Amino acid sequence: MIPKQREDVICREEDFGAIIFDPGAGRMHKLNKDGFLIWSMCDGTMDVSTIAETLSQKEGEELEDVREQVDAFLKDMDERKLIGWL
Amino acid sequence: MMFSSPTYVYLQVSRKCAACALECYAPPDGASLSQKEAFSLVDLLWEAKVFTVLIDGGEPLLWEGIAELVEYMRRKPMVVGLVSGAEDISQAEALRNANLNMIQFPIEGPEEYHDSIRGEGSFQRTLEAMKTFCDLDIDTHVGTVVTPQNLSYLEATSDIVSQFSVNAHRILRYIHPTDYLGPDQCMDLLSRVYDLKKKGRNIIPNNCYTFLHLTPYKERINKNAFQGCVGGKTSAMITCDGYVVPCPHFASKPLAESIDAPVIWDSDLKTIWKEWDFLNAFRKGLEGCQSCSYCSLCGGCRAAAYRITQSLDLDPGCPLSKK
Repeated sequence: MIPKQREDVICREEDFGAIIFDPGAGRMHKLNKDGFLIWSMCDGTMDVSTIAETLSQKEGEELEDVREQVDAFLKDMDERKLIGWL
Repeated sequence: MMFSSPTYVYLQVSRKCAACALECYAPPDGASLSQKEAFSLVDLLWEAKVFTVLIDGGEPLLWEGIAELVEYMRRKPMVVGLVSGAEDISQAEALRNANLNMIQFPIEGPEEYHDSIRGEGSFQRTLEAMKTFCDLDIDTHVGTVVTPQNLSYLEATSDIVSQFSVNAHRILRYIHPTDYLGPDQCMDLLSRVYDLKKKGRNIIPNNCYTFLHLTPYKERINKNAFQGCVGGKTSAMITCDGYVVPCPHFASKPLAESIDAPVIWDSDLKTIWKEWDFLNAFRKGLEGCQSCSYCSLCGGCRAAAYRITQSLDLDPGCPLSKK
């Protein structure tokens, strides 16, 4: 499964992470730095395992823990309809 | 958590309107944005990734090219609302076709009181505007500015609004140097708003009642989302002279100049947002609130403090200001 940001949503990078604006719903969603990092990797080229491995190496954290974090984040983004799946 | 620029901006297209008896935050003086300035401002806002714009006045529906401006903003695609005095609704269909997201009209009280404030025939004209925009399926809201004079009409006003399919009845705070609601009147008002809410009325006090969490209405607040005053935190206003001010209560030229408001044409929005001293003080909350345990949640209505005390010291409407 490859997550991909919805093409019409707009991301504004901030010191605390980012704001994702969904123009269809007229809603904003705040991401912290970790969330923004995962969001940035949802460009349609990496599957979930690759995202978790990349993040684990970058942050120096256990893969299992990072995978849980990535799964939870993507579930949340999916529920908010901000990503699709390829 | 500080944003790099506002996410929400009030854009005042003009200060042209039929003057009303309320001394509002933008008394009519004939000033207006040109069409070129307005479209250019929209580009500047979008470049700063401002997502939501509320078009304000004066009477925006009298501004030539209003539907074209809304359409231009919606294509960015910004979320666009408009605050109107219902002075001219000939552009209603054009605004629907431009995909306007929301419009707000004023009801100040029952017909006789409303007309005494906004002019003979204004009440019926506003009801017609509400019906027209509701019928066009545009998200329609009503705003009531509560003063000591119409405080007793709250329930009657809510009864009128409830006859229409408007999506929100906003209870707005009257910010005035002398004619303002004191702490006891604010508590009374917000208790009654809460009672109306319990009856199923879609009635909402606006954020200028920053001390909502001290009133019975606190039961209805989403504590994770409530921010008190949002001026300088997530929102700002640009006047039709180009001044950037913290909120609509500074939208007259004399008030903007009294706080040395920067002009949008002279500096970029992100720099103003970050570096303007008055705005930095504004977002921190009032001086007299700094030792209050609710300061980070509330901080007082800075506009009320400024209009009444000419400083950012204390909000005279706050129940805790009595102590």
